[in-house]
Amino acid sequence: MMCQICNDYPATIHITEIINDNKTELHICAECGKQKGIIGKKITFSLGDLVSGIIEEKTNVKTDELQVKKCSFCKMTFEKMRKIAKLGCVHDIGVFGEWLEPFIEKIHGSSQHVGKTPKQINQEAKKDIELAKLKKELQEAVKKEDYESAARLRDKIKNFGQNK
Amino acid sequence: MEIYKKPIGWLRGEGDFASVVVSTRVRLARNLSNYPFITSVTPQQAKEIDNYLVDKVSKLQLNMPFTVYRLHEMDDVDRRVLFERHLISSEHLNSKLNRSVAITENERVSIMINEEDHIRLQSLESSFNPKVAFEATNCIDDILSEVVSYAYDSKYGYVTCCPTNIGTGLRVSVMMHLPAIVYTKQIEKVIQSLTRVSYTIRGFYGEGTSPLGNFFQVSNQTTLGRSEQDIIEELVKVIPEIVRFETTWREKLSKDQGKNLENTIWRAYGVLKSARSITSEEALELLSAIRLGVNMKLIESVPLQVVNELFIMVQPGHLQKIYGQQMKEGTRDITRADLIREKLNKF
Ligand SMILES: [Zn+2]
Ligand SMILES: [Zn+2]
Repeated sequence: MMCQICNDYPATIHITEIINDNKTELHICAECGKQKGIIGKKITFSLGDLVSGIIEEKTNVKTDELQVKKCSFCKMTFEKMRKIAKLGCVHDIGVFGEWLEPFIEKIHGSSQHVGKTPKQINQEAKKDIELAKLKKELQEAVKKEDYESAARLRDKIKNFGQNK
Repeated sequence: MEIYKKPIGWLRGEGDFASVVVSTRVRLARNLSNYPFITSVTPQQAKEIDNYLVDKVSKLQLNMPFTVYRLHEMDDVDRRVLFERHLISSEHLNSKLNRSVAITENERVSIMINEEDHIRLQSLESSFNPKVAFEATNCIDDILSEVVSYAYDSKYGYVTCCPTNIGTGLRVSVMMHLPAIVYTKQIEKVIQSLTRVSYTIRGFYGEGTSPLGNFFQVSNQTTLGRSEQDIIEELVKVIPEIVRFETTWREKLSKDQGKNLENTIWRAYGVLKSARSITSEEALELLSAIRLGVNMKLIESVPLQVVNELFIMVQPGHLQKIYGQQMKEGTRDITRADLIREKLNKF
């Protein structure tokens, strides 16, 4: 089926609206969806739902305290972040960390990066990643009951702290 | 802009599993640390970011130089051509901000500036080739990270605008042609098993269980907590399973319903070789049937690349460039049919 607005691209978004028993269907392409603001709204809405779900689950997150927080660099507020479920700048990680961690954990099943690092980065950050990698390997070794590797990794992790 | 005339390297239809896997796309999402992200940026800041990154990208020392297109200065048809060739995303196409894309000569690598993230490095490869595609973006990422300061956090890795991309910022998307699985009504099974192992599968031209042309895009859902290599290694295990499934059913179909299948494919070929007007919806469906025919060695005269490229050529941006005019809907259907006839009747 082609987009009912532009007729140029295949419809990838299908919207059913029911108002007073009247069902209307709209089939449009992603581009038109974006232009009409339909996609943006839809995604925000579903992510927002997910977010409130997490907040309820994790009652230890104090939304009252978060409510007044604001990033001084990009001016992101908690209110806005909750609504759009997107970050405004790199500093938001620190400002809204308490709220972001369970959110990110829910999406990825993890909250620790173990991939590559940029060339231009301070040594401290590089060490943190290295350490996280070792800890993950240790976890896996224990899971596999490979105690020899686990002991070796545990020693490595110990030494790591001393070097720091 | 002459790019519309060029053959598309990543559609050449060669390589691993080319009969089922059309292409592999890898993208890395990156942001600058010293600017707000696109959600919070002012038009003036977007302009600054765009100028700054275009300058940095143009000066990179690479074997393959980039051509830079400033999207905000281009007309709509030219932008559409880039979009139809998968060099920019629909988000990038429709943004109101100053934005650019840098593309290598062979169109394998493109760098989108001011998309959802400040930087999106993308690489396209023919058929199933995630390692090569990753390496292409990875090495540019390394070089770029020496000259710009990335938004990076030791806990969350590369910080992206949307939390779904945080960590590696790596998304590998494999475009698959699965007509036999759709026809035998088993796509639901494939969707369920992929979702269980954290993959996203969606229709390429339309959603649901039978999207136009039976093209699907399979991609990794999570980007944090696994290394880039792990993400790719896992895909190398998963994708061949789907390929095997599709291939088995193609064989079974041709054994059990050979005449039926042949009839569908040859009829599609007949219509495309003689139609005088065709909608883009019908064109996609019939081209899909021909693609299956070529891959099953029923239609032996037409190269796979020609069929692959027709999927792009029949779209409005390319049609308008090829025939050199702004076209209304009805005229477009006529030129689309002309183009397909011309391409197929060569063989
Ligand atoms: Zn549309
Ligand atoms: Zn901020």
